[in-house]
Amino acid sequence: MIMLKRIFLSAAFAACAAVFSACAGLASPAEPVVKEAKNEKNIIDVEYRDLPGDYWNLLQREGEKWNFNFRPYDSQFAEILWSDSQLQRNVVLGADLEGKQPSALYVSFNDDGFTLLLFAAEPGTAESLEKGSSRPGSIFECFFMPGDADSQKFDHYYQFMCQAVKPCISGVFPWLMEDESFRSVEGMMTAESHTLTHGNIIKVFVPWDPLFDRLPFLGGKRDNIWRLSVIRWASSGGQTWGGTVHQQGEAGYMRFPEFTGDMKTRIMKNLLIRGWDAYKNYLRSAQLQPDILPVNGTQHYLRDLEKNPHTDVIFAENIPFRKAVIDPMIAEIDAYGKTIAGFEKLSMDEQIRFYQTVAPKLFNTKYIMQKAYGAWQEEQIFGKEK
Amino acid sequence: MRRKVLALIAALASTAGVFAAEPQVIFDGFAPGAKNKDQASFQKWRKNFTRRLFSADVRMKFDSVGAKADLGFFACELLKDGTLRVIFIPGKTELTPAPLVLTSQDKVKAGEEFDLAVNFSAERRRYSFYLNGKYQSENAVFKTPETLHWTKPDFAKIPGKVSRFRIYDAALESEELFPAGKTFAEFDALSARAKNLETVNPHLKKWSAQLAAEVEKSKKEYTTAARFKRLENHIANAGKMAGDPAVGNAPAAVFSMSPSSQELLTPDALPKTGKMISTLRLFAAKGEYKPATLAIVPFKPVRNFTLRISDLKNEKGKIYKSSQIDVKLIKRWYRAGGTWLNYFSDKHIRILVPDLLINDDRIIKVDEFRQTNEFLLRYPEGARYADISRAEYDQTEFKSYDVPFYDADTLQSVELKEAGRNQLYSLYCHIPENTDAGTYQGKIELLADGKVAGTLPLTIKVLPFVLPRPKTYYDVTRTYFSHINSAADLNETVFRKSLKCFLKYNLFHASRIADAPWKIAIAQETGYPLDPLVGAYMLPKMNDWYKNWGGSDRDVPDDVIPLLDKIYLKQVADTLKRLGLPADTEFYPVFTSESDIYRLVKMNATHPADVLHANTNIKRFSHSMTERYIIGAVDTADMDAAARVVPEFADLWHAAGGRVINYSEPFPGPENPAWYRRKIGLEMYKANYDGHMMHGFLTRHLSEFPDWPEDPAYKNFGMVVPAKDGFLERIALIGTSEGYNDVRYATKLMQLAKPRLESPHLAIRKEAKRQMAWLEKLDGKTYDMDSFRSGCALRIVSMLQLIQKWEGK
Repeated sequence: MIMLKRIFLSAAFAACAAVFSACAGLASPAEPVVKEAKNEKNIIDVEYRDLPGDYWNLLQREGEKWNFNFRPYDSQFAEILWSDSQLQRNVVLGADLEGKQPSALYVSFNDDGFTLLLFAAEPGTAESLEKGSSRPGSIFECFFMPGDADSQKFDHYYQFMCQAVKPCISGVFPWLMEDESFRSVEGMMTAESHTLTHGNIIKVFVPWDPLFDRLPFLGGKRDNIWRLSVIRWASSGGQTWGGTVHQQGEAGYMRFPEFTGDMKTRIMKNLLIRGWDAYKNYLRSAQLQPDILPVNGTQHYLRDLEKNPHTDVIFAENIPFRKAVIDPMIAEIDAYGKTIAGFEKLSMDEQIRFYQTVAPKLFNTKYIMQKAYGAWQEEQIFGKEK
Repeated sequence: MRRKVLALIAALASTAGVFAAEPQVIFDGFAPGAKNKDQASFQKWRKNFTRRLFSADVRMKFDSVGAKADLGFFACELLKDGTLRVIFIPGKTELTPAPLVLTSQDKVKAGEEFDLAVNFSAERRRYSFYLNGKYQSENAVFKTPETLHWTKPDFAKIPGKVSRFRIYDAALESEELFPAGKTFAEFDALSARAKNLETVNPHLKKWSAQLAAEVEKSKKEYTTAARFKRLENHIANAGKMAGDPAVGNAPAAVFSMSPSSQELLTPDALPKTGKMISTLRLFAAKGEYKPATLAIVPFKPVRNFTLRISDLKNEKGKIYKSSQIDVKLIKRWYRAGGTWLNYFSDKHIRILVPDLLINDDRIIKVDEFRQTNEFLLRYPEGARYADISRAEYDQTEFKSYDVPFYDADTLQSVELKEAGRNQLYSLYCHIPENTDAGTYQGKIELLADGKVAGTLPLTIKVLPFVLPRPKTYYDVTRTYFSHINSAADLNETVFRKSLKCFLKYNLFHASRIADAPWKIAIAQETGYPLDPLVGAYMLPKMNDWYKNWGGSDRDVPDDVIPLLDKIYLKQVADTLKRLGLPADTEFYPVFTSESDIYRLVKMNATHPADVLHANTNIKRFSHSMTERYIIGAVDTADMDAAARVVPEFADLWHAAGGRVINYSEPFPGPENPAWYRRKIGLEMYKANYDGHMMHGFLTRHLSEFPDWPEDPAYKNFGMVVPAKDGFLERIALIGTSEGYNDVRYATKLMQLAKPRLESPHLAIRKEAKRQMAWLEKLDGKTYDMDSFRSGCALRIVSMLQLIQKWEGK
């Protein structure tokens, strides 16, 4: 029995080695013995540019940049659906698609964020109109995930849905709580669509703001890869550019280019300015209102607060807390404004260090102050015993 | 032979310097040794290794385009356009074409050296390929078996040159497979940072010197990008700790983290959301279970480390016994992708996550390079570890009651294998209701090999009030349901253990308590509340009402209906009596089968609901009657378990006099305690919901890693992990408990303030108004939860002081 097993194993090994050698071209380089399988994951290069106002014409003008590599959903062994070059040409030209529903994808980014353009061929549109029915409108279910192609590092995947005939973002499920480490993209992404003769193009924009601490060039790796899943629910069935729903490990990838120094500077500066606005808006918010409540004064209101120091409805009412914590914090953050104004003058290393120090303080002021207030209140609890 | 190899690996591991473990090269194409002598020796050697995981780290060049190389484990080819192809030969199946060809995104020139890395994990179904440290490609077909081709490469036959060829027995992260690419100056700068560390702590100083020496050593050797980062990380952390005034002289730093922090703390990181402490201070109300989380960061390895907590004494000499504090290790283990986030299970990703609350670290062995979990199975004939994380069909279900996997009864010491790597502890402090208010002082001793290595003063301030059971925000008299489905009932011992666990974690409305008289007896014995009751499957079903007729429910004659009603009510009363429950028990049986309008009408459930409403205190509890199905439900149902937390749903149900709880935000499965605390606590509470329905406590332990024949994309919907003697608790329970604790604090504040909005005492009235306004302004979705808690506690105390002053209570 053992001998039989050995024979079997050595035969299997020999067969395998022959295939291997053949494929490596060592035996017969011209004619591979086994047909190679094209079963690699999709990767799309992300282009740095501002999109034109008529973004829908990019399909025709720059058809070669679009990726058609959609597979049937939940059937990963199948070949790519729209690999026929003639069909792809017809999509680009807006020609008759013979009832087929190909999809295509293009991704770009600029200093404000990144954009997905999703094309969904809808050959049944005219027929629907003639019948008095709703226009066929495929739904795209997507997610992107900052990080890289390695698997151990934890991060959030940002899921959303959008549809061509009702171009809004829905189905955003933040799987983490909003805090200093995470901000949802809900309410920040935008979607619009344009109807072509043979289908719809949806433009989905994701601003960098909620991702300010996850920028591709700050990932610390040599490549700038993010996971991307695009699934189209069409009347002819599901099509996927990146695996199945919620499966980050099955997703495709979007590959950002090497970021030049200028690109990094512009993106960081943009975010610092937007963070500055967020910070100033928070200072004006109902929780703080430092300009409204005076710190010094003899008004009865303030005197009353002093007598009942723990009953503040908002931070700003807690004068000792304001003086000890809030005011110095505001002074510190305000002082960053000067450096933000002259951000370009810093070296790249200085820019990154400054950005990584200051951007969280600008975008997270609310959480930082809430935490400080919590610690202050805790001191009061323990202090009462003294 | 296998034993010798394993011994060699162990020996190599012990020489890892400042790191307890590092990836092990199992085959170096340029190292002398028997396995490298000839093909036969190689084949003999390689049988010791599984082919389920491997990585290769290669430096090579091709002399010309079109060249091809058989590298023994895979092949490589340089195409004319500069594209590089890597070719694997996976075992062939009916589903898998062979070979697997991965193509580079980047280009390579003939005559130019490049760093090539490949890795394979059968567990993650992933082949991948990196070039010069950058990702290139991986397989899209996931049912791809391991490669069968393992031969000794013959570098002489390569049309170019191979200058490095190393194979590892793990599917490593890409940075483990590339040189650091750092200059000598960068090594020197790193070493100088470690050498020049200023600290009063001698242990930290020594560790820092060891790190500096390790950098010096690495400068002279082949150092991977990951290893350089590990050194950088340790040195940066040493610097941060040295600069903290709390560091002291102890051989370890102690960090306090919020027990419901969202931060997924990795072993080699310092907590971002915590702080180094020299005293642990906790405040809690009477009747509260107060959690605390400590991260211990040693400055040197310790063979046997543990914590010892003394009894605490207050200013009046009253003792708080340390036995009220349950200390547990927080164990990290690998879970499938989606971990920490949700209930989906992605088998292609494994993430190390803090999760289990255990006494003995040794019951689960985790390999951080191979990404495996092994359970310690204690058979009578001897203990052994079993890898329960392989992606194999024999791993689909772990039958916990059949195998001897269980935790120790008491906290055991743990080995801190590496300086700089944190060990997490959970302290769960029970404050009995009869505890005197006051500040209790004691200490936590850090014991290293039986000796006191450091002392952390511990203060617990017991607040002067008892926490009430949670009530709703919109009506402070209404129950805020803290449901869970349901206590494990394998036997009485496990059932009792489950109920005690529920009481510990604020889960007061478990379903199926009223399934049997013995369960009710145990509930009464443990003090588990029995009113209101949720989910009783012993009660006659509403849609069975017509069955006493014998025919179709549509054919019941009008004159028979009163008789059927009477029979049905008698059955209900008999059941309650048999269970030993009062006839007027408030009951919320769950009738999931009536969860849509179709079934509601078709199953004729509205009439028996009316009968029960008119004659008993039994309510109709519907499931997932969202807006779409609400017509026909609000007038017969008393409570709904909605799929989402939408304030408008709550308004709708309340307008009709009903209640609404939520069953899916959160589902059990993920670990992130912040998620549970936020959703169950302030978010749902401020959205005017009536509580939460937790969908699972102890479920079958289906392995997350293999492809199941059923339900492939979900995690176990359980709040605990099954073990032979019951279960292991998880940190999700702490988040859950804290969510309800937030509601309990808010309830106390409301109970004090709301009735006093019209107090005759102006000071009280003003205070009550301020506190009600504070609570109303608070954004339940985003307000910092720990800040809420301290604010609420402070306001309750202030209110109590005013009440005492003006009302004399």
